Amino acid sequence: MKNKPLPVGSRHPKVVMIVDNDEDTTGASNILVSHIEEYRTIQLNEETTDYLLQIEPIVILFALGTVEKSVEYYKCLVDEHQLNHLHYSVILCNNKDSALAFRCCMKGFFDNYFVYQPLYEKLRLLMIVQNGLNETRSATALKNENDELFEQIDQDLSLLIEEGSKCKQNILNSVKSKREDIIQSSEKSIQSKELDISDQPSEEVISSIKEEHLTPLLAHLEEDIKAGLDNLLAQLLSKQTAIKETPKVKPQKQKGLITHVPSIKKRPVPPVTPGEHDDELPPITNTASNDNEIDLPQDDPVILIVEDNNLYREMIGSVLTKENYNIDEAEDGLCALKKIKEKHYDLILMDLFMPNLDGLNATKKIRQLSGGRDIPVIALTGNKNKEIVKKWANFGLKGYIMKPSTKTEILSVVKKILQPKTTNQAV
Amino acid sequence: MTNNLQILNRNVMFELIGDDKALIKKFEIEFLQQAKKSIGKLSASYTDSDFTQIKEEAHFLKTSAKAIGAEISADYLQQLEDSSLNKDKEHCKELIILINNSVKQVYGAIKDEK
Repeated sequence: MKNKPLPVGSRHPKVVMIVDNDEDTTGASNILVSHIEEYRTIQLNEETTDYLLQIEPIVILFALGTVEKSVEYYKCLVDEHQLNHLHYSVILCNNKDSALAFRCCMKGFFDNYFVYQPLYEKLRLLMIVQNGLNETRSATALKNENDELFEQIDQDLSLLIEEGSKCKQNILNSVKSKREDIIQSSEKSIQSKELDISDQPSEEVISSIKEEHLTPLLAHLEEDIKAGLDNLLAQLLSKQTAIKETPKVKPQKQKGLITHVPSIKKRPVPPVTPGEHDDELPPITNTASNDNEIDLPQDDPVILIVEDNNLYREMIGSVLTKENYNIDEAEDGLCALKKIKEKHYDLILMDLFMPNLDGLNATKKIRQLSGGRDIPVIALTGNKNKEIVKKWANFGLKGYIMKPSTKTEILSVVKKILQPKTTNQAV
Repeated sequence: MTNNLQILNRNVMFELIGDDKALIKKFEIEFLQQAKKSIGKLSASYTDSDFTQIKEEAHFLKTSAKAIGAEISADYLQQLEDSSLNKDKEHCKELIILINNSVKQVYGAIKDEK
């Protein structure tokens, strides 16, 4: 082994070839040095690892004496976190080792391989290096964009939390000061009446009004505001925490961009056509639920989306919000039950498979609640669960939406359920 | 059937949320983040031979994959749900690798979209 990297190529290379015998790799080196400006050949020695860490090359070609040596050295670099940046790895081998190199790529260890002894496909080597450069640069650009996006979201949330805290404090102060004002004015009124007005309500009456009506009312109001604001702040904080904890796109101990997998025989799968068996399920019913019962007058209908997958929940939410429906969300059946106990909903969109409490059992429980007996429930389901949905229908399903469905389909089902109610209310 | 499926069928999201490019991008990025987490969980569950957890995680990610139009990923995830029900560990392993690969292809498709 020699002590210094070979003085071949660029000083700040983006493409490097690591060799332990430069005579064997002269052909490949010459091709690269004559076509790629940012190239350098590196002799493997004690300083190589530090050098790689310093220059962070985009494409690294391993051309050590045997495939085993290259694998061992690359594994060592990855295990010791010396190659944490995005890069494209290529193993160079002689013809008799090509099967081994190929298997290394198929297992996802290297991104590509090239036979340099004998050197038949010079242009393919250049093509491999060029692809590696392009892919890695695109991936790096996307990663940077994501990082900026996350930072911005985090800042926005921090600002929102801060504003929420201030708002809470202001409201609490205002409630407190109003309360004190009322108490003071009550006391003054009592005093003045004690002094000179004999035919006005007695102190006893005023104090009983204060105790029976004003104080509980103010306490209740204060509690409501506190609870509401605490809930809002908790939600914002949890969102911020979730975003902070969300792993960035940057892969840890990145070993390359492309993972090759062993080819396997794919098993035949049944076709997944949305709505294929629609006729087997009960059709969407237009009959509104117990319209004769007294409902509190409401503005826009409120819809509860119960779905454990936050991405799909958000998507459905965005579709409905754009149509001026008020939406609320629950991540499982238990959470939905809690919300339904506290608030009136005009419609529930419910997923089937969820942690804690699934859609079928959640619907059973909702029907046992006094306020949940008549809320229309629409199932969100895939077409593989027809039998369960049929069973579910016994608990009062008003319809179903096939995942992922389209905006038109979702709105059609929702409107069919909500329109009769709206019409009746209008009458 | 798998041959007719697309890596990323953009019509699916277009028909669900319209042509709001920023919103589409947001959901695409969310899917990639979700997929990375889920594949980690799938691998861990595979190591523990926890087929129930594999099924639940595959179902979870399948919902997102279908929603953004990652049809091939969704198809493999459905196969993984079936294989985990049959406790076919070897096939589960193959499918987890294929899912990982298909998600990388989705990433490539999103990247190329720019």
